[in-house]
Amino acid sequence: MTDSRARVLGNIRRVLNRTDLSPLSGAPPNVPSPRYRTPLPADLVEQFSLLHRRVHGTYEEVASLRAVPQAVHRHLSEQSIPRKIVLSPEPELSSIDWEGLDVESRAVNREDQSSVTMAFAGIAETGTLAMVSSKRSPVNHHFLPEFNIVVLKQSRLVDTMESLWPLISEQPRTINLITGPSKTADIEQTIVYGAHGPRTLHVILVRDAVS
Amino acid sequence: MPNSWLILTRARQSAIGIDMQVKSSSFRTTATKALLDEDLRAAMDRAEGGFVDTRKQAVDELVNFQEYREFARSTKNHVLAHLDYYLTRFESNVMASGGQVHWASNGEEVNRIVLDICRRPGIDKITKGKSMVSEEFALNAGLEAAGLEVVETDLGEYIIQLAEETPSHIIAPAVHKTKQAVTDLFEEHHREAGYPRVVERLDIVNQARQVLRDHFCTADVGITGGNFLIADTGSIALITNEGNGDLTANLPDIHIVVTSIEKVIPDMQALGGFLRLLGRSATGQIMSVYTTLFNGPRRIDDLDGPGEFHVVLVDNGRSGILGSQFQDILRCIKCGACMNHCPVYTSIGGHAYGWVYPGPMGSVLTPLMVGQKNAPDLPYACTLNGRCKTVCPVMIPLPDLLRKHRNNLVEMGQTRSLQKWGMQLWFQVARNPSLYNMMVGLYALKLNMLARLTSAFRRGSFKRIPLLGAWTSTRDFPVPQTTTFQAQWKRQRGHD
Repeated sequence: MTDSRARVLGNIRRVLNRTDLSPLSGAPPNVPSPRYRTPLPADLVEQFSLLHRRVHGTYEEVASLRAVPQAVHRHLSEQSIPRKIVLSPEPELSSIDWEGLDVESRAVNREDQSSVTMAFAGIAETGTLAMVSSKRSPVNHHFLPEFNIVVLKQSRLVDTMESLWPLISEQPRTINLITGPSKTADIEQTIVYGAHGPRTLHVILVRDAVS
Repeated sequence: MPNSWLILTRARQSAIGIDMQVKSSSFRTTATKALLDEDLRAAMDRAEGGFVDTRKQAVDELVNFQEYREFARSTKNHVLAHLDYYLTRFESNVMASGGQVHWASNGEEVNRIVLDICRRPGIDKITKGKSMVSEEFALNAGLEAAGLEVVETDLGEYIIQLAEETPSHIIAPAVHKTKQAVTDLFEEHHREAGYPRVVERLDIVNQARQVLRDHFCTADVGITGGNFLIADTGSIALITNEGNGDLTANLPDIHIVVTSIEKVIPDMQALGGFLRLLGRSATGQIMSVYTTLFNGPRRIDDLDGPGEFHVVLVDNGRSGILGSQFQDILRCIKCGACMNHCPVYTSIGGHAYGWVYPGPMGSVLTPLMVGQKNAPDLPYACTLNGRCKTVCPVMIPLPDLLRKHRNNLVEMGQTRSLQKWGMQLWFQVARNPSLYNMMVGLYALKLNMLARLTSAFRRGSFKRIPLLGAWTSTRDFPVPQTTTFQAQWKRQRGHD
């Protein structure tokens, strides 16, 4: 469709009075910083957990990565979910002693009910998890299982989305910004959780930084 | 304005079938029918309240929302003024991450491009995320005609696909459907596969989840739209709440993004500004559940993701709007706030508008995309109350654009003769104050006398008035006093 490319761009350039060599005149404006009526907690952990819970996410904190398996155990029991989980192949996750949990570190398939992943970062302003894809962090873990547990380190919290972008050095195939469990309001505008993605989204925050 | 795309639009309509048919010229009939549809009214009343209240709450909380609106307006204006620059920048960055870019000047070309990608052995099933752009040229019908199975995966889109309808709202496509209607539809279509009749909302959603899960996992191609195209990185930003867009994009071996040229923005920094506006304006959400950035096909050591990544950049009449008096409409980010706040839309629903985009943004866009002659009533489907303009996150002056359409229709001679005659009469009378006062005074007196002869006087209003049947068929007309305000004012002043 080279013809179409030439036609579309030709139309645009004719109307705008530009050629393929025309430079930009002026720069796009800078994005404003958000200001909220009810001020958000200054502490990023507090801010993140508040916003994450507000969109129906569940949350707990542990002191170190070593304490994660117990927290996962607790969550699975509370939710009556089978104690079988698929980890994303993240070395930091697979090196933990999972103490009696049935754990596999691999790609997920449609039979897998629960996944445990590790967030690239968390955005406090919106309670959003930022997942950056790689061989250590496949994408389907975030969408296929019914129950998704995400390990988020305190040291990976940023205030806003604008602070997230500079942390991503190499462009991944996907960046998934996830804010709460999957939901739909397509039946009479009433929210139901667990539309196509996970029904529950449980964040385990690891207090790895001294605040 | 060049008319070539208009001709193409018409040629396409006859080529591909009923879905893309422009039914906007029968607006008067469909709108009247919609007003009498009790189920529709109930559904629309419920939706309007929800959208308006949640939006207001979320917007009020962000103190500098207005600053974001101005940011969005100037960003979009800047991009539109350099659209060729940002599109080619986007294109080369998609290619740099291993994706393929296809350009389509009209819908026919989009259908051909997508079919060319899909026409190979082993490709039978396509899952599809919600895409309003693809409705413009009935992509599904084109693919089905070629023997491919197409499954819509957004719950609302899936419902209307089963019902063989088109979306009635750009973000809540099945807003006109009651729960009962969905129960019946699911029973009709899922019974054969052994699924039970489901009545409760959660059970309905769960059944859709199960049925669509099979499709997600067996599809050969996934087609999604895109909300923003990021020039700087060649990323497609896709925003959903259900997660269907991501399952559509990640599970099949081929991901095709069908999107339009005005959606490009400069960089990731700008994305944050638009995201703070979009969720709040659309559903009152601070952030939608899933915001995904796609950059090309799976990398060599990735465990999942599609092997091929295609982006179809669709013009379909947009470059003809660029530089025209309607250019502002190209800033639209398809949030739906204008229709949620429109008394006309919330009374008649989306189908009455007769084409893909309903409500105020639709009434501006439809005549531009299908030809003014094919949608002559849409610019009048507006009370000029201005709520749409007030809530628009990218500050599109929608009532002004509708007024421009009206002007153009008059200049083209596209007005009904009765209307033309009436306006002429009004013009003559209004230019002559004493004639105007006399006529109004006479009319008030006559109506008052008429009222005294009927039961209207006791009631204080007329149920019917000769020559005003169209007005009084849906509302009462108050009985006027014997004299006009002007006359009373004069008398009062005389007493002072």
